Amino acid sequence: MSTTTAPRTAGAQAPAVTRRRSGPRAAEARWGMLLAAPATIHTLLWIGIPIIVALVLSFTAYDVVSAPRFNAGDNYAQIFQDTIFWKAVVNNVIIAGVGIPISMFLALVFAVMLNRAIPGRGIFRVMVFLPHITATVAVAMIWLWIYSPSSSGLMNTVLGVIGIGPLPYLTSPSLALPSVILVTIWQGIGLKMLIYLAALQGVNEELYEAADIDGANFVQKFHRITVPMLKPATFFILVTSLIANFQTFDLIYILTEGGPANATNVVTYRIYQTAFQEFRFGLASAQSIILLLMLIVLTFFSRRIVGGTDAD
Amino acid sequence: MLSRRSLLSAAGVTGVGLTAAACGSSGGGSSSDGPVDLAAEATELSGEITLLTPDFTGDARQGLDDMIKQFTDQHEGLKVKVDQVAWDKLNEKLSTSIAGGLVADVIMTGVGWTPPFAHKKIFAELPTDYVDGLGLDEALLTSCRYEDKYYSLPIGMDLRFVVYNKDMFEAKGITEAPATMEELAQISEELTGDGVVGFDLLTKNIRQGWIHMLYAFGGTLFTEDGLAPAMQEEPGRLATQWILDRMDEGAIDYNLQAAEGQPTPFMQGTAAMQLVSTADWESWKDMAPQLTEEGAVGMFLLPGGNGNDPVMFQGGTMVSVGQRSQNTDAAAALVKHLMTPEMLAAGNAATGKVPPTADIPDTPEITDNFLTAFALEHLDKAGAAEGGSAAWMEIRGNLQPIIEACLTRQADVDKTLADMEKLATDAISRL
Repeated sequence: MSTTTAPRTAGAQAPAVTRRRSGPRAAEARWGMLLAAPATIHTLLWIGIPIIVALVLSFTAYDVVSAPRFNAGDNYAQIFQDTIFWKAVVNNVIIAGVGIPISMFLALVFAVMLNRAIPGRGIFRVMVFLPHITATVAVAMIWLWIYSPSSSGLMNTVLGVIGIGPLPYLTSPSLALPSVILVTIWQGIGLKMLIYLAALQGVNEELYEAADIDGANFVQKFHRITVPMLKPATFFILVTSLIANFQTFDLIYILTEGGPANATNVVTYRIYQTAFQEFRFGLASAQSIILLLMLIVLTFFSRRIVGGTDAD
Repeated sequence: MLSRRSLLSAAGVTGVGLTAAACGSSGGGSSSDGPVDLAAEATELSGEITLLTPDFTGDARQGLDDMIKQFTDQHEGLKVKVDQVAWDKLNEKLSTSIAGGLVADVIMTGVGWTPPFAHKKIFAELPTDYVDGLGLDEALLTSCRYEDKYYSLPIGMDLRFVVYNKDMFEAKGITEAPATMEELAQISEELTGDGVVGFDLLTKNIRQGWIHMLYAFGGTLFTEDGLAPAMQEEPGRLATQWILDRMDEGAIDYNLQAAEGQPTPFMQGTAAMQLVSTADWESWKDMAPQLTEEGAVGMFLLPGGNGNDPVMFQGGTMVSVGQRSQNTDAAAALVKHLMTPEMLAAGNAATGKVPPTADIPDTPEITDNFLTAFALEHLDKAGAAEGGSAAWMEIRGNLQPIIEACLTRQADVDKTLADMEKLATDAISRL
């Protein structure tokens, strides 16, 4: 008897399993996993593993030549005594604190202006977006010429006409950071404008029509409709800008090399110096982990400040 | 079972992004002690070797290819692969290749790089009798040694001294180049005014400009054994104060630094004197050809301060055999080939650098360049050099901000020297 019932039992269960796996939801799930697989594998390989490796290395003394030596939390203790690292953090915060709000505001203004049917709108959009797609190395080289302290420098030539200067934009400790911030603003407006422009085109026109009927003026409509409707875009721009700001490297590398006297040093450049100039890869890994934690905290606070996304 | 050490090693290699290490390259190569063998017969050599070089970019590459062709014609079983990297990426390239166990067989680096990489056992020792036989000046050979052994050879030099605008000198009635630091200070002040600064000391490189001054005042960066800093001693104080005094007078302008690829104040006629590099010849030809005419500019060595001799700053390219090379005999043969008088002439004609000896065949690119000719006449004075400690690569990047802080009046001389000492002491203690 048992020899006959056992197959029946198995046979009775099999259709149920098959039904669960072959339903439209299961197929959808399989397709979902399949489609997500490339991104998941990419993330695990190129982000997940390096983060884990960096975390492991951050507890070692490692100079590339000899094998890493476990040194507990020495690297983290050193970071807290590294005045240059914290100066770099402060510089990043200043660049973000000044540069991001200004560039977001200007991007919004440009987006609102270029969302209207004005002549040459396409050309203006391209002009505003162009700095974003230009290689940062090229951008930095152009600004090196603009900021040149000699008479051939564009900025000094222009300001010289109204009797200002010449000013040492990149060699003065007090002017170097503002000069770098100006470049980040100029370069950052394009992408932000594009995102705002896309978001503006998703705002329901009926809201503005209803406001018109209620007699709202332009400022009221902008304040009460446009800005709230752009909140998800603003959150996205803020978070991506913060992350991009803390990843700024090439601009500093070419424009100032962190100088003068670390006046424009930023966290990524400091990590580069630690790793590739001092050969202290363990310490550099610890600095990278600190940077990661700072970005997580900043993203969390950004969410709180802006008020979340559509999902909320 | 994997040990913690092997796990950490694997993590380290992965951490610098080199999957090559995981593919089984041991990176071991020749780990034997003692100098490389330069006596191997051409017929005994075979295989492929790699040359890592930051030089021979652009049109100069053809010159290198010709030199290598001559080598491979003589060594038919050998192939040479060239790996070119920009100077500012060379340190990264070396460190990542070390991590991946893929270090080049022949490596070109800069002055000051020899002790750090010899200490890390990346450069192989070169036979003393061979190096002595080259007849190079002791001023250049000092940079090739680590713990009294040779690990590199100077192949193309970039030497620095002072050039002056003859018209500006004549206009002020100055007939002779300064012979002391006091005279240089006086002349610098006299030449300053009407939109002209007397002396452009910093436009090439602030750190190297300061080091040049340090040596002019009789100082050195480190003690002779390289195990303690010496830059904070009295010559360092005198050099720093001399620069600050000239800045107070307006004779040196910290803000007048030319950006990369742009004409220097001297080329634009807004500086009467400049600490010039022999490598400037090419940019003079492109941006200020009037300076390359015979007799257009005057030249003198940076005078000694505090009773010391005049001194020339030594930069340039050094060539070494990789200690981890799997084919050190072939690598050594290539170095020997590159150091022949014919190849030194051809190589430096291509790169615009100064050969480490005047005993080379006549080459128009070298003889017509009066910056090179002046430097060759004074090779024995090329004693101001970066390096001198195995910790130099860790120190040099952080030395410049300390000097900048002083020159921008964010730190006084005492704090500057103390910061330098701490930086160097900490780095040396980690060796």
